[in-house]
Amino acid sequence: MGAAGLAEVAAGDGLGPQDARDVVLRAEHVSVVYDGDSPTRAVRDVSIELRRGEVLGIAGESGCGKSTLAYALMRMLRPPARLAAGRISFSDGTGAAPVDVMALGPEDLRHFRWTKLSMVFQSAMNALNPVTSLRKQFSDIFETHAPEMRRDEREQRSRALLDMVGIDPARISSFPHELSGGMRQRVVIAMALALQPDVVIMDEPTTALDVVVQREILDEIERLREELGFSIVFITHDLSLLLEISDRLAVMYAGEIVEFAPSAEVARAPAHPYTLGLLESFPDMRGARRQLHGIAGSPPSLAGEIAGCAFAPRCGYAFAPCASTTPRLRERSRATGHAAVAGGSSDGQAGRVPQTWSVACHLHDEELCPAGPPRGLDGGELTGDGQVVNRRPDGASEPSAGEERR
Amino acid sequence: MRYVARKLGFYLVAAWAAITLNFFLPRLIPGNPVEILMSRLDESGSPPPGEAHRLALLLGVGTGGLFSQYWHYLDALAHFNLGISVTDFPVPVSQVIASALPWTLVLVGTATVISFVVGITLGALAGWKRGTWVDSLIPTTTFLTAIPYFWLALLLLYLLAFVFHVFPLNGGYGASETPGWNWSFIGSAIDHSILPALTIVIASIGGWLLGMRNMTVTTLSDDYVVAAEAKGLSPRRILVGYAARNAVMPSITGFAISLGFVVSGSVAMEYVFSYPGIGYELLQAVNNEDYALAQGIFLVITLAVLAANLIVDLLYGFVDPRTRQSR
Amino acid sequence: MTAVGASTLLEPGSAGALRPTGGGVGHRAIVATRRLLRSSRMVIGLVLLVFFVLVAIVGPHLVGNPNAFVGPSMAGPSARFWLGTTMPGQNIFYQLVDSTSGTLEVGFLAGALATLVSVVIGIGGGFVGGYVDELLALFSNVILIIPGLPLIIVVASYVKSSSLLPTILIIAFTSWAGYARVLRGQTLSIRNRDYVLAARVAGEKTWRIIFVEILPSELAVIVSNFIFMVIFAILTQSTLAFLGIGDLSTLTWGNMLNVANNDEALTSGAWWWFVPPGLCIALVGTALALVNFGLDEILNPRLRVYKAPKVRR
Repeated sequence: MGAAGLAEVAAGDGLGPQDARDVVLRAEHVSVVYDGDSPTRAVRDVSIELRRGEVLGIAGESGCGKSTLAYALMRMLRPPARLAAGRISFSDGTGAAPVDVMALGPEDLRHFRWTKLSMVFQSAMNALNPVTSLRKQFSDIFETHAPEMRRDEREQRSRALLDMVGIDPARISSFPHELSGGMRQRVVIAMALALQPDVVIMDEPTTALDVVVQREILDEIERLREELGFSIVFITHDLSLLLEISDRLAVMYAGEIVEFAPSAEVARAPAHPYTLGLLESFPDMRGARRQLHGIAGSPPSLAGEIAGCAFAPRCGYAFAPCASTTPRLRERSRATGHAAVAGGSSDGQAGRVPQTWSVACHLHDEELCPAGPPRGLDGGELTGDGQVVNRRPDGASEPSAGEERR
Repeated sequence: MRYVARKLGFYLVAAWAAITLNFFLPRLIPGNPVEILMSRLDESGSPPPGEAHRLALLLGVGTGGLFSQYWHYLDALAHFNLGISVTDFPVPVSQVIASALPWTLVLVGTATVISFVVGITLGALAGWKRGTWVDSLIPTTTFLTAIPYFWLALLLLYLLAFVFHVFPLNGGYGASETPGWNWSFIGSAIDHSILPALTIVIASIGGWLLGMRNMTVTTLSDDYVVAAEAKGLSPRRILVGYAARNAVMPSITGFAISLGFVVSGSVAMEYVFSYPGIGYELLQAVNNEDYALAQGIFLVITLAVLAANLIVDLLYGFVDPRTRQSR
Repeated sequence: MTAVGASTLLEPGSAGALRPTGGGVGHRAIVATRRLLRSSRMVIGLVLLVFFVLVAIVGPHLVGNPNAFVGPSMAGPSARFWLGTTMPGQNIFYQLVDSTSGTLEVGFLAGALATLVSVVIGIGGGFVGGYVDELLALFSNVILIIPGLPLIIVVASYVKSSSLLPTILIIAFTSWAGYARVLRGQTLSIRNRDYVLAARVAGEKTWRIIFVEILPSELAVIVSNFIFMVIFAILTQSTLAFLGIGDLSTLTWGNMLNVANNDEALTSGAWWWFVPPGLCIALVGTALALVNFGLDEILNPRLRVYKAPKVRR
């Protein structure tokens, strides 16, 4: 791409008019600051687009800003957090003009929430009012957003919702403390779907659950999504889980997106060293055996500016420019032997819009790193079943990226 | 229901402890309480024959060992034999208490409920509107909670009865009234009760307000409130049904415990206003060395507070579904 | 194309200039002190408190005999008698200053004693567990629910004494129960935390576990309880003295109010007699409460108010 490849990726670039209409939620240049003694920039100029019917994953360690981003999308930030910059727009797919979420007045915002955009919170244990029955809590939603519904209609709808998520409708009279953790999470999901929103944001919806229940809930979410066709923003620190359930994913580090790619591609060959590190710190979902590594060190403080690449101090691949120049998120410009990258449609995502793959890393900048990214990050080192086996020429004999630095 | 059974059990133990404490109290009196009391009774008139014996049983200093004394004491209580009052000779103690109790119950009860409801409401609003002008109320309420009840009563009395003649100076009703169910008497009684009630409300409202404010602030960042906000529920519904509904729980428990303090405070308040309630009678008894009356009043106040606590506890079980299961 | 946006822009000259974070112990102490002093409630409370303690210690040496009959009966405030005189002609300002130490003494001694009892019963019971704990908890709850003042009135009037000691003892032993309950709850939860279990497994001595592992983590609660008990003790002693029960020979603010009330200061319009002592009680109580709220604000960040440029809702 040459000089053109250096240009920043602009919003909507590469999408045809039809594709643009297919975007249900779009956030541009969102920045969130926590005011205080030392203001913390928790989300730094993040832009994402969510397409109708897709599952968009957001991954990253705790404190990387992923939950803050989710709250910003719903305009749910509370002081000391505030949206310092950015635009959020929502299109309902009818061809009507997109709604500028930031411009909604208090009443309009209230009506927007839950009817268009709902949320499943991290801890279902605490997301339900402990002192009122499920009936009352369902009823609150309908009384607010569908005042025309009669009492018996509300009751019927609430029961149907419980039934839909696999809970005996008779439990409608129960109180939250009378339900198991898994049941509570199902109830929370049923509530999120009560008004058939276009988008459901799920913030670590399965983290507090044990593995078996986690699996049940994930299957349930997938089934409901196919049935009802809503889009999901799925937030978790568990990258291998995201690879399995999301169509595309954004990897966040220190408040920024460092890699944004089709999930199937990332599973085969991540482009950013941080993504690679995350992948190696979780066991593979499909059970392939491999050595697990953590990423040594911890994320930087988000107070103030970060010079150079935020990940550089923990990165095994860091070279001179990383300490001084901040890498920008741009489309991968280099041919990697993967036709899909340059704008073709990726397999496994049949019928979807063209996939792009952006990464914020100097290794992929042909001017700073003319030799190209090392093997393992160049998207070429693949085995038959899509596993990255060796990321360095000498493989396992080399210490992991972080360990050799600290 | 296990919750109710447990509560009942506890209050039975507490009542037994109070009755037993009451049995041991007269032993603190230097000298022979029966002799002192009998000499006081003789001063007032001629006590009925056998009164000395009955007093000895009641004060737990009858014949025999400790157990037999205790047994006789319980027996006397069971027959409502609380002795004869020196202060209102020759009226039986049980009758003195019966005529003083309603005054306190109505006054303290009404004032406490008003103070609780108003304090909780303002507290929830203050927590909700944190960071606005409502916060400036807090230093004032802090000051109010630190004011002694009786001094507040003195100030109110001085300002509203002595300087500006808005309310009567003292008593429970006008001197020209005859107690009974007539409008003139009831009006006079209400007129006389406003200042004492105001004292209780002003002195106790700050505590409710502050406690509720802090609990509301805490619950506002709880997940279910954040979730309710995400659901687009109206601020009113979130405050009433979610934040305040949960924040009020500790205040309800606190209400039970505070009843004892309210009763305590009302003793001093009744003294200032010469209000014919149970606290005023207690002070009369104590100052007149009227041991039988003092003992009887202490027991009745304690049992009344226990009963009120039991009611609040049972009510709590109704308000918080989590207590209905075991625990 | 979907992933979009410019990342953090590199500002010229900022290369490599990472903002220093953290700092040494000394730095942290300074930060803590600064936060302490930024709480205006804390500062006001501390200043008031120090003032009253100074008056209690130094005051009596600076003023004349508070019981001497030096002036006319019930004279209003003047240059000679700053707060006027009593019915028998005593200097009210002298009395007010002289009363400070007695009132504070009762408050701090009874508060300390009650704290001690609540710590022993609350933490001890919670730590030992089993039947001992159940019994102590039941005992605390029973004591808590029996109304204090009527009991104190009865006991104090039965035990006739001419010193403040019985008053201090009675107040202390009727007021510990509520806080013992709080401490027990805390202890029960701390007892099963990993670091305490680890200390037990490692065979540490019980007293060491209590003093090194448990007590420090409950210190904030204990201090807060102590402050509240001091307030409670001052209010109770004042009430008792006002009602004319217990020791009436030592000058306290409650005592002054008792005499004022008996000498009908109220109906004589002698506000200078009954307003100042009550105001002092209320000020000391407010000072203590402010210190407590300040502590609470520092320890519970949720209660802090942020001054955000744009406040939502």
